Amino acid sequence: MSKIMTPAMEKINSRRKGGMRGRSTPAKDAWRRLMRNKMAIVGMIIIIVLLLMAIFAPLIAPYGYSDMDVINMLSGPSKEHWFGTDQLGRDMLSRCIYGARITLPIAIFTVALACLFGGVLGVLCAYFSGQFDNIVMRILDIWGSIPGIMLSIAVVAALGNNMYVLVIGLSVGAVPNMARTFRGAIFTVVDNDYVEASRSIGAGNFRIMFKHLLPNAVGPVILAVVQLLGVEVLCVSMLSFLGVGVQPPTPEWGSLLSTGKEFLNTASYLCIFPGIFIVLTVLGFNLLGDGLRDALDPRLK
Amino acid sequence: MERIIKKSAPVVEVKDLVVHYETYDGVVEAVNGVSFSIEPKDVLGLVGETGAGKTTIALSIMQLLPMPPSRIVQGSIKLDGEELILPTDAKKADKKAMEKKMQEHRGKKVSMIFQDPMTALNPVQPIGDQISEVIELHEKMSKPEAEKRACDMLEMVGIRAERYKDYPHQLSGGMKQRVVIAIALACSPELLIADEPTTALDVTIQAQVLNLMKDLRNRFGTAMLLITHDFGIVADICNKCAVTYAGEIVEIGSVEDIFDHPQHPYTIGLFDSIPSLTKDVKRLTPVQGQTIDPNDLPQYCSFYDRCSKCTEECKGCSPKFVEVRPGHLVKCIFAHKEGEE
Repeated sequence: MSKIMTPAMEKINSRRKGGMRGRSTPAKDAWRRLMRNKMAIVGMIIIIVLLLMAIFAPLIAPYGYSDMDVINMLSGPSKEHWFGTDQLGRDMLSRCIYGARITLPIAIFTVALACLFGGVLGVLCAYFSGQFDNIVMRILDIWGSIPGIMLSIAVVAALGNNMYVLVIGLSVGAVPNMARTFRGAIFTVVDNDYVEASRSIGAGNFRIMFKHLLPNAVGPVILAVVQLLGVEVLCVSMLSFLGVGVQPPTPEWGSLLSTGKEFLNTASYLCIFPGIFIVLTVLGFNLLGDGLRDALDPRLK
Repeated sequence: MERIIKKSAPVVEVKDLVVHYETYDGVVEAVNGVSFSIEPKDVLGLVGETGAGKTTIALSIMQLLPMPPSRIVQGSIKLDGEELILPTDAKKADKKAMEKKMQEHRGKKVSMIFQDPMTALNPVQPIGDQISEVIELHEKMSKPEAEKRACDMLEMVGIRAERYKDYPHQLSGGMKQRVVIAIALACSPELLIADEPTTALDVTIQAQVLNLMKDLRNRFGTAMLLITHDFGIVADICNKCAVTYAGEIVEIGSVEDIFDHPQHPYTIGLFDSIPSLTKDVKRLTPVQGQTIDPNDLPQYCSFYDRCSKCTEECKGCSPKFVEVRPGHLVKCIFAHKEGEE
């Protein structure tokens, strides 16, 4: 019997990868299909550029986000200020770039939180089904019948106004949908034979749920997560625009819009540029989401 | 990997097992008073038509019956001397403790090979990881050790260890079934339940898998419960055979007893419906009629409607086991002890 250890096996596998026989895994197949979809690549590039912009904001932005150029207040796009300046002479390009640092993390953490709670609830519901599922899903139905944005405003109003509360408030609105998505995805795989097979080797409920069921149901879940990201970007901006989200000195895209709307007649660029960033972000996530749906669709396999 | 056989006490002892499926359409009497035992190194073949309750018996030993709708009405299953069936009025804590103990036994003391290897493996996990998973669950081993053992298991079932990282869809059906067998045997269980392990495979692969199982029995002395509807397989690897009909064992004995001196009309009927290499038969005779509806079993012999030898006497009572030879039991009122007429 050969005594091949894992590192050795990995070496063999990596050698094979370059060889004639491409090792295909379900994830790799999906990736290859995704790469064939031009619109999805466009979406992905948009998202990557925005993320890089958020990470390296201090390096990219020509000015600080609160630096005031008092001589050039409300000046239109120019060589010094590509996107113009606002009523306090702050550079709009810098503010938009820094805005990505606020909006994207809030959206990402919101989705992560919603996934955590919605995911656990959904998986438990689908796995145990029956009475437990019934009770939890009815509660979620009631919860979901309240408009998400209203729930978020209520949470922010009750707990005060900062980024953490905003994340909690927004995820509260997203949990029921997330739970439903996870539950539906798990339902499609819970009757498979390998579930019983893993029970027959002595695997416990927890291991079956999170090691065997979830990885098999990941397709629709990834799709929902990416699409939810786009939605949450909109929600963050919407709340800030309404004045319950991120407060004005912080350059959040929605709050930029909100301040800009007062100068809509004289300096419309104050609204147009942050608006373009919001549209681009949502477009990016939606294009990527559509591409993922096609790539992960089991019927195409 | 030598196993010390502590005692020749049966690995599993099933006594008078009754399992019902309680559905909206009524009670399905799937298993009606089945008793058998399997000693170490024994291979018991459980033969019968579809719907005869074979898989239900297997799942009750594994304690994997979906409850509800199924219910173990009565009986006892002793795995290695340990009673698995709690009385119906058992406390919740006892049931929980039992389930926990069963979880430890599954894969370690008793493991199962499923009918369809195509669906019994997790499609998104490399096969090697699926083997090492059961080892990690039951043996106190570090991850690298478990992985090495998984490699050894792969080699043992005739798959090169380099394929450790392969996914199930990259293997052929026979290889998948061998992986399933490797998983089942990874912790050298005392009892292996094989539920139609070769039904989904073509004949050449069937032979490979059967040879592998025979080899394993000889090397590790694993007791097996082989569920099948193929007498050829029984003749090949079993030493004991039980014929089931409508959730009952109608005839049980050594393979020689059953094959050379079948007594029950159903067993005889089954043999008549197999093509023979030695006898020249123009037309095979199937067992007449349809399998009886387990929703509505009669008080008398459940094979009555299809039996070629039935008389009015059969309707009088349900037949009891007659021991025609030592260890050869037949459930028919016409069965008689050897030498008697």
